[in-house]
Amino acid sequence: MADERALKLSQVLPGITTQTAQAEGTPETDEVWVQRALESSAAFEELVNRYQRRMYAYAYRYTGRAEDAEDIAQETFVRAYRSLKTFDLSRSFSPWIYKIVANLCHSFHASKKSAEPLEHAYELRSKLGNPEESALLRERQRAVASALQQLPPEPRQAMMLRHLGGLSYREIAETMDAPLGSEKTWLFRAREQLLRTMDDAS
Amino acid sequence: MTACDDRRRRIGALVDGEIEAEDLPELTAHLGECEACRTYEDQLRGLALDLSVMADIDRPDLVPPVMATIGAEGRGIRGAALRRLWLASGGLAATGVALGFVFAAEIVDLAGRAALAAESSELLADLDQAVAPLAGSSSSGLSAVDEAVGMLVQVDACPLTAVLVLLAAGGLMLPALIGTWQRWARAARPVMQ
Repeated sequence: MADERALKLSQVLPGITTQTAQAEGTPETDEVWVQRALESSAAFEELVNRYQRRMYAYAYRYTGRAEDAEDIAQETFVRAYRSLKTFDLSRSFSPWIYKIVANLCHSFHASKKSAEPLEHAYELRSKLGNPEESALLRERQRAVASALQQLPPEPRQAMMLRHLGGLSYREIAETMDAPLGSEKTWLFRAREQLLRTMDDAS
Repeated sequence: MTACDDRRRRIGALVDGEIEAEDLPELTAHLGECEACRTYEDQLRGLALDLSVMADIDRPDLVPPVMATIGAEGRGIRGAALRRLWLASGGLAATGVALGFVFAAEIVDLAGRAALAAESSELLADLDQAVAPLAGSSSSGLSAVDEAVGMLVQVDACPLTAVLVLLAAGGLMLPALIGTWQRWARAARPVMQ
């Protein structure tokens, strides 16, 4: 039963499977690469490779614009590199870099409060061959993305860190500089609101 | 708040794989008998799936622009720190050598003064002896002689000392000046491609 649940979880949460695969198959952790990057900037490329999809996806889902997401993701890595010597090697790299991208997205949001709804933020890749199924899936994902953008800042950030970043509760709290209890409440509220919004839409 | 409402938070934690071990048996048992909570669990799992798919988007390759920006900023951070350390060490070493010269010059100077003082004391004693027979004739004349001899032992400050102090100060300031210049150059460079 527990195995079945774990399998289900790994199917819906790719972040968890990635971390597990790293732990089992890849001996070199992010933190090892941070150490190498401190010696040589060339080693930082590996960290960019590992995180560019996640940083870009986070920024894209937050800003809704490909160009802005690209700029923010790039800036995230540049700032991370510049601050690398301040990184505590006894901690996890993932929450640290997510904190940078989250702060940049927050600053971006604050500077563009009057931005219009961003329809192309909901563009999603579909791997389904059947056009009808593909259209249905796209429609549902569009609704989820739209509902996510309507959430208040903290619940939205907590949800994105959890489901786009695959961070644990403790890591989310660390990234958001918030107590664990607050972070759990944000996640709960976000889920309740997302389900309500999706229910209303359907 | 109903018992099911209270359990919703824990169902969220269960879906996230973050359920507390002590909560699991009771929650699992409840899910076995409560259809509404099972439906809620299924909804959350569906939502988690929808959200995780959102991370799967086409993206540009960020490696070339990021590495170009970083490369333009110079070598590895620790390498730069080591270089700064070397510069600082060099400055300190130069300062140490300069201060060594200063102290050596001062020691030589003091030794010279001591020797002159000893010589002058002997000379004064000889003079005192020589003028003893004339005692009482001119005490002010004797003072004038003492004063003249004292002037002989005065040694001017070595001009080399000032040069060495300037060199030492320069050695100390050099790393700071280089560091400031590097920070200024980095700040002046554009961040985004």
